[in-house]
Amino acid sequence: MNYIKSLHIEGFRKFSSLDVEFNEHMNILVGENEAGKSTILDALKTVLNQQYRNTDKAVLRDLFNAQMVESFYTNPSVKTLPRIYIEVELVLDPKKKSSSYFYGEAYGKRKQQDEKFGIRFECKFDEELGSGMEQSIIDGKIPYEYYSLTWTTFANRPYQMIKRPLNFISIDTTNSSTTPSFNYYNRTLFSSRYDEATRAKAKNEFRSKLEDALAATNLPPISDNRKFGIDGKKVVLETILSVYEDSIALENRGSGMESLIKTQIALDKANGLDVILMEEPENHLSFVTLRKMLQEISVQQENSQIIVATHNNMIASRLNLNNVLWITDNSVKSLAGVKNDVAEFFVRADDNAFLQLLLSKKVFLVEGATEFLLIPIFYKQQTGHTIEEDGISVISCNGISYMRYIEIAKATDKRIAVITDNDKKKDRITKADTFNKSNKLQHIFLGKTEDEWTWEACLYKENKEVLDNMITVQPGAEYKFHGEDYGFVLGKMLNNKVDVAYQMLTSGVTFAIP
Amino acid sequence: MAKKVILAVAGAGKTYHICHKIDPGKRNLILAFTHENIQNIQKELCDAHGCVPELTTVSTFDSFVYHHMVLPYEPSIAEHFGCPQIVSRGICTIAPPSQTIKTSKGKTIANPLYKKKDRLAHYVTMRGQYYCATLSELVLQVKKNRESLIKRVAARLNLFYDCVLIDEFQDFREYDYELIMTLAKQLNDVTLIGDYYQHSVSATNNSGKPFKKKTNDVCYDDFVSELISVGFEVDVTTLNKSRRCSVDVCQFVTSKLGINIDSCGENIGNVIWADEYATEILDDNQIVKLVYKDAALYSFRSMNWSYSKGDTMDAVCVILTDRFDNLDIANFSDNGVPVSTLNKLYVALTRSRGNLYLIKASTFKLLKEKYLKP
Repeated sequence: MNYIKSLHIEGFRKFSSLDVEFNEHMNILVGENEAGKSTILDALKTVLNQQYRNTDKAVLRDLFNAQMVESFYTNPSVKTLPRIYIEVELVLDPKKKSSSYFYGEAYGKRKQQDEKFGIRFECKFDEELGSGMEQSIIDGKIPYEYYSLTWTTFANRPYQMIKRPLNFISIDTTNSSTTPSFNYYNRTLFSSRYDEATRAKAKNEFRSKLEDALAATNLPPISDNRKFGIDGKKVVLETILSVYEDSIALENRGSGMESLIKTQIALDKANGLDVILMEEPENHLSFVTLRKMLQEISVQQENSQIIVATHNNMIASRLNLNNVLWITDNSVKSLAGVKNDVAEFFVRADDNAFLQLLLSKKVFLVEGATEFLLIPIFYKQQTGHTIEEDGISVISCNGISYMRYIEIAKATDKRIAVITDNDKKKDRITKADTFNKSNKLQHIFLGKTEDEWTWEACLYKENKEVLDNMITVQPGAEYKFHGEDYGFVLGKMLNNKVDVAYQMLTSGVTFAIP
Repeated sequence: MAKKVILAVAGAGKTYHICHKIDPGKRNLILAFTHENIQNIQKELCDAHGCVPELTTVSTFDSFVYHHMVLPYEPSIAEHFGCPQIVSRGICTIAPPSQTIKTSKGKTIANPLYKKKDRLAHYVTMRGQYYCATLSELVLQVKKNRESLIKRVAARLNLFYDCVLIDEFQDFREYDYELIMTLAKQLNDVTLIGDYYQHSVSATNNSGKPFKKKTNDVCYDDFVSELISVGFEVDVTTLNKSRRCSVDVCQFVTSKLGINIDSCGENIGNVIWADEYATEILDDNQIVKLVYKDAALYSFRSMNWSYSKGDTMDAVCVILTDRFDNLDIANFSDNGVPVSTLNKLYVALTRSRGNLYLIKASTFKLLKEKYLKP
């Protein structure tokens, strides 16, 4: 089984330095917008597909890390010029023909060390080529045109895509299937699906039949010794191939179906793809199609390595959050350590706020809708800022045990305030106390006494007067809650939780905060 | 752990044997000395399997050492010599400075350009190119504490190849030979194929280990027992019959040079002393003339004895040197003839799949003038 083991980035786009370890099969890259999900996919493509090999050097302007460029401008010299260095470590089957080409100790610190499989990419100022540029560099100009891009294997051999270490495909749905990306897909599939001999045979026959076909048209010659012929360079088989399903070309299907079918083909073991990159597969997909796609991916994930970048909750949890790689500023955290039962729980629970938890800086975890509505107001009242300003989310567990969320918060060092009820149970209070003593970042808040047994009870206790005035009680109604009498007002609050909360929210009254 | 040496006679079909006996499903590594050997092997593989099998690698020894034992380990090499990172720029075939030079007066003095073997400059030129000649020495040299490069390289070969075959191994000398032997000890499956009597024929390697101990030549029997003592199984039977040479030619070689060679009897041909009608033979372009040296000087179709190694010809005329003027007498003795010369003659005598014509030096001298290129 061939796969990408790790990625090391220096000075590429968002990252001044980053290390990512990949799982053998499923990897879900999760992060806020601009966190660098696509930068990671781009780095892999840059190394393995030699992306940017033939593009104009002007593109480097976008590829350099802004911090590095900035520090060059503050102190311009040949030494401080920005450079890009990317290393991709692979796991390859030594039984495959060209694997030794990638195996050596020329990586990382370049010392005597264990051999590994891999490719390194370097983009730096070529001092030989750019001799004479020194003065303009000192004047603070980056000589993009004098940069050289080199791809070298860990065995110190030049890397060329012909010697592909693994079959690698990228399914990109962010820009719609205009020709270049589509052709790349078709071409990759063509070369991974058939061996060289089969491909050569097909190409050869195609060319000769094409010439025959033209000859058969009996086109009159231009003059005695001049005639039209077919330019083989203009009709290369791979460039005009397209995948057809039931005689409809894939690019003529809707974008949603197109990416579903592309994914299906990529996942099929017979097509021999080792690594599949998917960027935001949720784009253009309906809920139902997305579910279908996820189903296929999770059934076939053992066949290959899949690296998905996504914003979608369902993708992250359906494909098991143990596989999530969570990207933040210059670091990547794996959720592989989250307990199995917790991961399993989120796979099953469709509607959960798991990603929201990951994507916020701090979180209030609350029991239900009332807290969800009121916490933001209380927060503003207390701090003077809105929760949005402070990057805080409120997540309602809707009866789900908050402990599962806490597991994830622990694995990602998230700050979480849990607001929960003691339900008049003493042991809950003691448990929460013990938990709070051993956890700094996560804290459980709940009523300290039995009469503060629920959110409403606490609220009422602090705001008895205001609430008594505000809430009108129907005469004759008992407002018993689970058969217990808590008095009319609290009784009504308990029985009509959301309505009352909404009433409080819109009343404009300032409440005392429990 | 299969370690095998197959000793072959001339024309026994070494290349044929290698190419047809390999399992095309296995990862085979076939190493040979020259590019010509490589081409022969590739051609034979195509005959045997339709193409070079996908998992089979054919390479010259030097290229393999460079690409698989030096390049991937440059960090270790730099560390061994206490140098900063090496940025190498390929390989060069110029000879490294020799240890000593002769002054204009013929005195031997130390060469000021010579770099000691514990310095990187012994192996790499000023421009960062590896000397081809010292590659094997370099691989043998590098170690850190008890972790030698050779050990790691052997592990690498075992990881990537199921069988290692080295053709014409009698052509390897000194450090190359030492590298092969040291590696072979640690390889899972290695086969060396060669012809003892063809050693010292190629001009580049006509001295030293393993065919000389100090100044004495190592004879066939000693050579075989040496191989057995380091753990090889020595096979002298599989390739002991020449498919190329006729019975008559083989008997002639055995009786005159004392080299045991049998014929399969597939080809018919006679040994013919052609001194009496030499011009007729020299004029016949179907017959390749093999001369000791300077083949390029002659107008007839010719080749040097040593260059003919590995070739098969329909008919051959060997033009002898002075020393072999009495090769036709019954009790000819090769006493005093250098081994390398004898081996070259052996090669020349065993090129023909048909008739072998012989012309004495004394005869040729009289006719030579006529055949010199203007």
